[in-house]
Amino acid sequence: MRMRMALLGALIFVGAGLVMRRAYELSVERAPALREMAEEQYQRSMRLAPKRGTIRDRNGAPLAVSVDVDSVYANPRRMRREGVDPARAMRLLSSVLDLDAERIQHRLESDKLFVWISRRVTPRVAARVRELEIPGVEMVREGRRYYPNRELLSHVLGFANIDGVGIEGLELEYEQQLSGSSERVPVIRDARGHVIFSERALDGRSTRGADLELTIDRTVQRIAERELSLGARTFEARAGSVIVMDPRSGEILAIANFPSFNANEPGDVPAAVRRDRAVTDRFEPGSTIKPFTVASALAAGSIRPEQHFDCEHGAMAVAEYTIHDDKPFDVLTPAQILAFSSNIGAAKIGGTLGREGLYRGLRRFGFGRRTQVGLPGETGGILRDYRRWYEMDAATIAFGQGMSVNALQLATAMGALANGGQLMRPTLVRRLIDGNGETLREFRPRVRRQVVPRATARLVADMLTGVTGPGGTAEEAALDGYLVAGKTGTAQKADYAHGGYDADAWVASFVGFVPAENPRLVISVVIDEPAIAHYGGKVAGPIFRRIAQATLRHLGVPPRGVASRSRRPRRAPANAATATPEATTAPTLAVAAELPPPAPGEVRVPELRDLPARAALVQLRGSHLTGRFEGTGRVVHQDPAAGDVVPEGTRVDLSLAMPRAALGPADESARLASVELTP
Amino acid sequence: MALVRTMRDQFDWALFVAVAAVSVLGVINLYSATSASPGHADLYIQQIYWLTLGAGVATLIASIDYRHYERYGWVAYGVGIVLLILVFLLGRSIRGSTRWIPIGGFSLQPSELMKVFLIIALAKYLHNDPKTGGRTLKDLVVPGLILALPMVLILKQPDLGTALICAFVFGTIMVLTNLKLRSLFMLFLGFAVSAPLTWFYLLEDYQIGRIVSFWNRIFGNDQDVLDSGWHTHQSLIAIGSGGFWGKGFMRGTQNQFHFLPDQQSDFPFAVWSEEHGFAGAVVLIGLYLFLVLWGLRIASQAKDRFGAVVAVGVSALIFWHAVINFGMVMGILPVVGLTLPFFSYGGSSVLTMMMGVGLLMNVSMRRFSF
Repeated sequence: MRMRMALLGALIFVGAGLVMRRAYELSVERAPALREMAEEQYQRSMRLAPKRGTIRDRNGAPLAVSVDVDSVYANPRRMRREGVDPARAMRLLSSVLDLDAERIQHRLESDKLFVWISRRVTPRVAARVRELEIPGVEMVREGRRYYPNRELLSHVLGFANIDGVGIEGLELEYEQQLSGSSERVPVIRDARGHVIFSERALDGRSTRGADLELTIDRTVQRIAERELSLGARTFEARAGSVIVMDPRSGEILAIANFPSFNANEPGDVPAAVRRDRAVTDRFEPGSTIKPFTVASALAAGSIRPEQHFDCEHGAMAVAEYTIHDDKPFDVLTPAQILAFSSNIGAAKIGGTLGREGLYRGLRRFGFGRRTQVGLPGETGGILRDYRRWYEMDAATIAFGQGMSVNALQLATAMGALANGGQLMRPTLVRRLIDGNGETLREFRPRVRRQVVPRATARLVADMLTGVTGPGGTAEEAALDGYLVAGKTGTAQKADYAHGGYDADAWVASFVGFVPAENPRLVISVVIDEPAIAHYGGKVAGPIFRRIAQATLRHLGVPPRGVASRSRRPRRAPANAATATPEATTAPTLAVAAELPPPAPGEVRVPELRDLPARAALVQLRGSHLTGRFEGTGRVVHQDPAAGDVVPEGTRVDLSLAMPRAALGPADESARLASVELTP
Repeated sequence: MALVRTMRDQFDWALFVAVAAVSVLGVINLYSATSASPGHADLYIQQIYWLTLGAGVATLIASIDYRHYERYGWVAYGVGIVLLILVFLLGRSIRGSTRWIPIGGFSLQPSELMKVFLIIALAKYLHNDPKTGGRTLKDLVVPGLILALPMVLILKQPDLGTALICAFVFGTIMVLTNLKLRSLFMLFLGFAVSAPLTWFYLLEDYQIGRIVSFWNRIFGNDQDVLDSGWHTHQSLIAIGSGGFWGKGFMRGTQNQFHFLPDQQSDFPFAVWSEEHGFAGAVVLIGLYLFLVLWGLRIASQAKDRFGAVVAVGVSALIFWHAVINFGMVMGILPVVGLTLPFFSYGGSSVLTMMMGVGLLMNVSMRRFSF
């Protein structure tokens, strides 16, 4: 009995020892591995997609904004726990949402914690989903990209896809900055998949994407697009592009392309229409190159301004080819060569430079390399190395054949003649601003190089005023009250199928600046394959004139002889929401005024952009229309557009967004005021 | 007066302190274990009520000379059997098994009480058995029947864990009371034959599932963590992630985030280990070791065979409960749903164990009497 007792005692010790041994194994030996398993279970990370930054013009007008809308998702594991039948849930959801039933039901039957049901739904749909009260079906706010000005600048802005990722244009080029740091934030979740605790305080502002402030002026852009579209349609052109630039800084005020598209519906048009031709397409510039040949020769001293060139009565043999002028000329000065656009004269001036001199001269103006404006797909044009030129090239490149450029290169080079010889780096983005209004990066005007001496540039600029003068090739580009300098270009397009040039396909262009004595604008107009006429002066000249006229008025540049006229006050770069209505509505109203009144029972849709919801509603009521509102803040997008004639009672879809607070610390009071005013 | 003096002079402080220590640690642990469970946060207060009630019952049991229990041994056994039968008539079914009789707002678990009554009945039988030499198998027939009747009723509930405990307690008592080695061998043989029969005819599917899952884990086939093995898997993670010193009171992530199942009744040791680490585990295991050895010491000093058998039975009860619970929580034994004495939450469990402590105290205090 005693022995057995002792034996039992020993067995108990052994039992306790085994238990302790196991506890030691788990808590000490296997602890690291098991701790990792524990962390794996409760630590999850959430991808925080910060709000995408806004793209604004130079005055703060929004060009691309993100509006928060609801996205529907489900937690299938929770649904199962709550006893929700996936098929029934699917039926309920289908009654509200347009769904691919089979796929969604399959997802609902999975064992996941998160599946998308439908993303970026309208507020009304979101409300109806909420009313269903299906356990495990929840909603999250996501940013939806809106382009409040629809077609405006769409080629340059590009667009973002459903996930808010930039696909083309600036949206692509500045994807990283706009999207912000899409960081993964560690969170802790419990066994039921509920997020319990995030270790980081989530500050929406600190993680949101940067805003882009462009050099674009929305009003100038609108003018450029309107006139380009009008001109391209008038001459039944295939395509076209316009660049408006400030020659003093290289800042681009407008980049317009035709045909255009609505950036909100990029899928509606073929990719070719979405191309930003002004920077991605190269073409043979033709005569617009001549000023640069002349300037290079003058700078090199190979010609003198008063020198006379024999223009061979309109035909000159070079190698086995013959160069022609449109009209036969006898003897011309460089100024006359530019004004009458003599190919033979230009070839002779180019000849004084020699191949290398001509090549280097044009290179210095920026031809043959990218401007690095910061847009995807930019072409550098083609200017082959002079050592690989054919004999003919030495003559033809002097007047713009046998090389190619893009519209932006042309405008930038012309800017150098306008501003006294400085080749500027063209800028499109002025500033990157973070969520707190701090400037992250500023793109200041930068001089690439002094291409030609100031005096030479002034001299050539003066010569170029002859182009728009009496007898010049671009009389139609002349403006009342302003002296216009510029150069036309009428280039036959290369026929790639058959070699040589296409007899019916032309590129008509005009690149000029105004006022010639103190240039404020460089405008390049390039019209691809106009059908009605093909001379640069005839086709591109009027477009140049109309854009220049409206833009100079907008900028308050006084005409000649009225220098004392006070400049029109520039809009203060204050709050975007308060600053823009005047500028936005003016052109639209002007257009509306020319239109006939709508038929009985029909109304014209009023301009609602930048209005708060209540004011927009009042406007709609006044016009016998109904509205549907999405988001909060001020109207950034409306459909149908202002000016459209629609039946009474038509519903107008409005997207609203909060105005960005202030543009700088100086506007603290303005910001507070605007915050108070915001509904 | 004599009773009060006996209580004061002979009071077994070591036993009291050990039980009190485990109970207090249990309440503290319960506080942490249930703090994050809405609706269960006041469970530790209920546990204090049960422990107080249990202490009262233990005092009552300890104050009456245990020879009176010997006299009414069969009555207690009979009451236990009747209650077990009543379970089938009035019982409440929870998670597929019927173990509880609802009484007012509480539920009574007769199988728990039966453990103590069985110990008393066996002690009475052995006490009155005149045989002094080694026992043969034939001498096991009657005690075997005393065990078999409640065991079958408990297995039918089904409650495998409690039935096993009864068998283990019975075995321990029999081994200690002079069973011949040859008989021991025969018993083992009998077990080997009956085990497969039990497997196929008596065990429920979920019990088989648990044992299979245990088997898989032992042999490294660790795939079914989502089924029965899920409990153990989570338990292992909790214990292991605690490390040597633990994560600290109320800091156990696995418990607080509800990864641990049954943290208050079956798996409180996992909570304890996660928060207090290996060090805490050693303290708790040490307390149980002391308690069991102390119980055996009481048995060896008992004045009569009834007292000795009762003390051995109660010690065995605590020992097997603790070892099996530790084993299942640490993944070396299948999950059979046995509580950790004084440490787990549960009225029936606390009351049964406190009755056992009362009996131990009784035997201990009267070792010098009569």
